[in-house]
Amino acid sequence: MTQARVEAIELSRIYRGSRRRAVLAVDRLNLAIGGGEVFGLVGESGSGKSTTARLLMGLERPTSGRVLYRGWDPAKRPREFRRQAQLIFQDPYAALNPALRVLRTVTEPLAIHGVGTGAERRRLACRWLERVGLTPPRDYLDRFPHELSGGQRQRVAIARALILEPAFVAADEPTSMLDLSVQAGILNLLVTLQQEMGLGCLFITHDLAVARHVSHRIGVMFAGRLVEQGPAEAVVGTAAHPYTRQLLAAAAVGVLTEEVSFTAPSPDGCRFGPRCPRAGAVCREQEPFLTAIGDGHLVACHFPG
Amino acid sequence: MDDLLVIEDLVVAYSGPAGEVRAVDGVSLRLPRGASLGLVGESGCGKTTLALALVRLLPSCASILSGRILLEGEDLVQMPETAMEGVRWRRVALIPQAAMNSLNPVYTVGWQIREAIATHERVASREADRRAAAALELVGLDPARRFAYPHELSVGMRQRVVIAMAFACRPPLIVADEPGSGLDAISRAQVLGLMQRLRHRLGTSFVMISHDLEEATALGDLVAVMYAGKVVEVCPAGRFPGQARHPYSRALAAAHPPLRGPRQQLTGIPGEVPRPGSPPPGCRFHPRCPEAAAACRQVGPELSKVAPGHHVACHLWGGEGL
Repeated sequence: MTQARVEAIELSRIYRGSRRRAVLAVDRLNLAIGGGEVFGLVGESGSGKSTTARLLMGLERPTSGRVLYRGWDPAKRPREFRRQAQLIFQDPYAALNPALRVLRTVTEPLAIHGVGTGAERRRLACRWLERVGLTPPRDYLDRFPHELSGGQRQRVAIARALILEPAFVAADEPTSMLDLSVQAGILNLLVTLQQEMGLGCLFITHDLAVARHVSHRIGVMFAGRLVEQGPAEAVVGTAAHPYTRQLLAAAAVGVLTEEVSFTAPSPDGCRFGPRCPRAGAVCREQEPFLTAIGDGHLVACHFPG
Repeated sequence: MDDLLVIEDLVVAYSGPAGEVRAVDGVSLRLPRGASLGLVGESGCGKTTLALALVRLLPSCASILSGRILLEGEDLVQMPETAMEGVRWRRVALIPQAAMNSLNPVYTVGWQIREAIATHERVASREADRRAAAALELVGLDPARRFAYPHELSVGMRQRVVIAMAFACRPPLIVADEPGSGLDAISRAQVLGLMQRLRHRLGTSFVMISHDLEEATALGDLVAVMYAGKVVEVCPAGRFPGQARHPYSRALAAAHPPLRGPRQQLTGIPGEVPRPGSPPPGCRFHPRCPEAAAACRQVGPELSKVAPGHHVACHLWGGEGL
């Protein structure tokens, strides 16, 4: 792995509600994503995946902990950071401004960062539309988002994110709103572009099969904590955390037969405890921390394997 | 055989400025009592239109042009709306798309389940309340949750509430339109597991609509594949997708990356579902089909038998005929 491009150090984000207790969306998360590396982040809704992406991308300030981009703090140089780190969102229907034509949408990052003249931007936009598979580009330049299908919109969003040739991209469930047949095309496109450009990438999904397909490493999040992390094949092939195993069972069979308990975990213990088939006394008393069990394969569990 | 549901040559069209557009174009399906059918296809293939037609809840711009929908031998197409109100929920219920957002935010979920029961059956309010509590228990929720408003529940719980509503009057048939979409992998697997258990316990039949093959085959005894308003393949769930014959069925199956085995380039399906108003001539799938031959551009194939209970509409598989 090349030198870490994006790092999270003891990163936490707490949301304070009015009536309820504070919610620990992300809790002391440590993460390093290298240049040219795809890190897949999986977990169920509410596990803190999207908050992690927003923190890494500087869209939100951490409650505590730090984000480092190539060793510097992105919040100090937001403009330079945004030139090098871009986002692809989940919902292509909401991510594009409905009043802007494709040309304007795709060239907006160039305009913001003062890259090129109008003609050059147009040329670049054409090149990128071609690269994301919207050919011939002149058929798309003057269209509005409502004239495009979901897959085409996501391609426009990808062109917009990559036109500045960033070094890092965070993609938050970029295919979960699309038909499977369309998802395949978008995944292929992202993998190709990532390899051609040597992009570092945080790829969020709740589909382990998709995560394995695109990622070099996979991290599994539960209740704000990373509970397992390692090479994609190791995490999917020899999952050690009971939660990862549950995710795998859900992905492999598509049907979970046992009910899942929603009892609150004990404050000092493992958060997965109440849902865990292996939980023992120690799990209620002591929170497990990430420990290496193989080459780069870490798991936070008292009874891994 | 005792058929619960028989659909015969059903045509459903939307009327627009350009004339009528056939979203469902000559669909015939047969579902034995107690069996379930998974209906797959991409967005825009007519799955949801078919679902809404089955409960006669089509939007006002759509209408059933021809064909029959026989539920327990009675034709729903010809049924007057007043009679249809007695059929809905009691004999066929719908779990609509994005069901978790279909609850009314200003009423408690218990009130909404009671309303569904009281609208379709004559029951005292105390009895309706008891049944609402029982319905929630059936789907694994605490009966005390009936006093909760939808925003106080998680997405997965709201989905369970809608499932509880569909079961409230114990209909023999439930039409579920993508019940797992919008849920994450674990909640989705739980909801499907729940439906599977309830189905076995109560003997309910499902028409399960999804673009996700796992979801469609999770409950299915039968799988039907729809493309551009037509059924292109029907087969026993056990043969799907392994022994699926239609190039479209196989392309759908190859679109999702596998969880095990070597990583491979995904194929996807090039192009898009044709607009319902202007389907291509011949086989509707031919512009996207890797195996299309000359005949496919001219003549639309009919469903023909390739194995017991397995029918395919494809020129490559000219079987024995129906």
